[in-house]
Amino acid sequence: MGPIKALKKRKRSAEKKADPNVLLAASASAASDNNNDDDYDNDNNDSSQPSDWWDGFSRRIYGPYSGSTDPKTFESVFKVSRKTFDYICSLVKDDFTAKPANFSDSNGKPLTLNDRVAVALRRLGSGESLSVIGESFGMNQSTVSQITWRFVESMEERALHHLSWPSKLDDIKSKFEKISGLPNCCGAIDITHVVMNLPNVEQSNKVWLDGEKNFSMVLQAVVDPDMRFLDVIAGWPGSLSDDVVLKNSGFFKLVEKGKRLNGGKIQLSARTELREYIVGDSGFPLLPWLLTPYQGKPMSLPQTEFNKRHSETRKPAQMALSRLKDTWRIINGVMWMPDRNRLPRIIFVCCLLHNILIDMEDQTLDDRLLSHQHDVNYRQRSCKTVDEASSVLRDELSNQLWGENSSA
Amino acid sequence: MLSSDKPIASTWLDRLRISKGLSTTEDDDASGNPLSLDDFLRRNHRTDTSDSPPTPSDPELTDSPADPNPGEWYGVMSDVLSELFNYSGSSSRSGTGKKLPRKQSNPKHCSPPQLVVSIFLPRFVTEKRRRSVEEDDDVEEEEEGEKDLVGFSRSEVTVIDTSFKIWKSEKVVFRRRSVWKVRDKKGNSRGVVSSKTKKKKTIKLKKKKKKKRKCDVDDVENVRKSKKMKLSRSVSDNSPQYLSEEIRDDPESSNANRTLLRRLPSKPRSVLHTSKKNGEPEARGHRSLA
Repeated sequence: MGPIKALKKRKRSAEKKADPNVLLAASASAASDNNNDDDYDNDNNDSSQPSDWWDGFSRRIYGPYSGSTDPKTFESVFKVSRKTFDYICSLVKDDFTAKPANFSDSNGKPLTLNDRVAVALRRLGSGESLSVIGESFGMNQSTVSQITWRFVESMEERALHHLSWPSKLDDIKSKFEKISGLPNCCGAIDITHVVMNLPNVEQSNKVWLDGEKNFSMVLQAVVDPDMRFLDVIAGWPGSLSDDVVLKNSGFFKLVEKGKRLNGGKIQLSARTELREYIVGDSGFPLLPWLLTPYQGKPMSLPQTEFNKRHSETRKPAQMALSRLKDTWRIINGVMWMPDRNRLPRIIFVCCLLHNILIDMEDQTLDDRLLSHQHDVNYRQRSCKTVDEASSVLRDELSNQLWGENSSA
Repeated sequence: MLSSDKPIASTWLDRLRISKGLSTTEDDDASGNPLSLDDFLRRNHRTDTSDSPPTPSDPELTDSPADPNPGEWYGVMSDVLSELFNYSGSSSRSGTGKKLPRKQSNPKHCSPPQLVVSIFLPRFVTEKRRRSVEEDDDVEEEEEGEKDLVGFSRSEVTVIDTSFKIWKSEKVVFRRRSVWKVRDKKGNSRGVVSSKTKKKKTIKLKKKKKKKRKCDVDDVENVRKSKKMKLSRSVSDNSPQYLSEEIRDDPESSNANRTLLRRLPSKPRSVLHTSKKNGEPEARGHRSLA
């Protein structure tokens, strides 16, 4: 229950923590975008055009959401609040308006910036096919495809600042410790699989075949207690085990070079220090900076207690990946023959959107229905790689935590 | 005896002259000068130039720059050009409408058409050669660089890694059973490296080709990739075990510096983006994604 409590607390103090720069930019851009859209509509001599973009757009779409100007409908369709939507428009505005692409709907009406962002968000959020979105939005499916790809290209440049390793980890450490008492923890790492449907007969596709006999692409993420992605790596084939993906990640190399997780240490005992570390499941190797749970049975009480706390601390990562897939459904389920060079970029943009929702304190975020299962039907893997010094360190930490627990 | 007929049209030449209305060597023309065979031919030709092009057998006409009708050489050149560029207009540029012979009757004077071919044709020929050479090079390079990976399957993947300065990179995964080896892709498959045998020969050609490729609108995506990979390679140590991208010197510099680092190269990239978008190659063949 640790992380959920913490998250609810975070939501209560939403206004305090929202990045003022982001919010300011969002409000300013929303105002300017609305003005621009109004100007655009006036330029097109469409006197019947309502003042708000959504009012007009909702009338143009087909299906169950048609004509509904309810904000909840907006959030259901686009997975973001109107405030976040306007902020996203402001991010991609320069790229979308620098070179007009003459995108238009089936009636030949040019698509505005908001129209195009709406199409892209719907495509990423619903995971519906190009033809379904094309039909419901009244445009050709190739237009949907092109708009979405432009959006991805723009976002991966313009929204990059929403996903980066933080300069200060004190706040993160404190939140993790509040979850279940693990001190000096800086993140939780986890891996999920984006499942694809590929031709089985092609030998070259075998590399994408994972341990569960699915063709998949791997996404590895380091997450903070607020379920923000701090570091992601996407694109490796599903056949690669978790530890191989980790060892080939930039995160691994940075830490091994002492350029990350190199902050303050905690004195566990007279001769043992606990450095900054992250937690991961048993699919990862036990390393000085990556603590994994105890495996095998029987376990001592301290070990059992450690595993329990460890599991709670890992939950933000599991929930983040679950929310990611649940919100941006283009990467949920089974993708039909995707372009494997583009898919990592789409996954990455979904991660950026995930972080933007958190940074914007978006009201659509709802943790109540969040599952911890992001890789349904995937069994827990286990990595046998154990660093001896790390094993000793983990023993000392679990003993100390057990001692605190029993004395309390 | 035949000898008695000898003085009067005794030879086949005399008979021919007579049949063409030409007197024998003793006859004079209207001006009183003896009309030689050469004179006859020249005169005969002048009367015919308005109707037919000069025959290449007349060296005077072919060599004369002041000839008002370029004649067959122009036609031959046009034919070569039309064949090269596959346009329907042929050598029948002359107003006569009469098609010129495609084959030269006198191959000895082929130097002008050869010059034309040397100007236009080799662009295609050498381009093909370049490409084939470079493809050979790539294979050899791979064989050289991947000798220790015999028996491994090879897969190229695009990886996004936010810890790297250049967060998008292309990797090659080698796999044999449960053994994986990951290496950086050494750039675009064309025109990056050359083999030891052909390196010297192709360096200049590759430089030229790289310049050309940057101008190629249809290939903007590749240009961008190669540009990115070039950046990646510039910091590469080609380590076989771990990839070669340089890791940020100051990983804790966080958002501000990070954004700056990535914004700086993004300016020209956005230009490329627009070009690519202009070309619209992205949407093609991409059914389920985006």
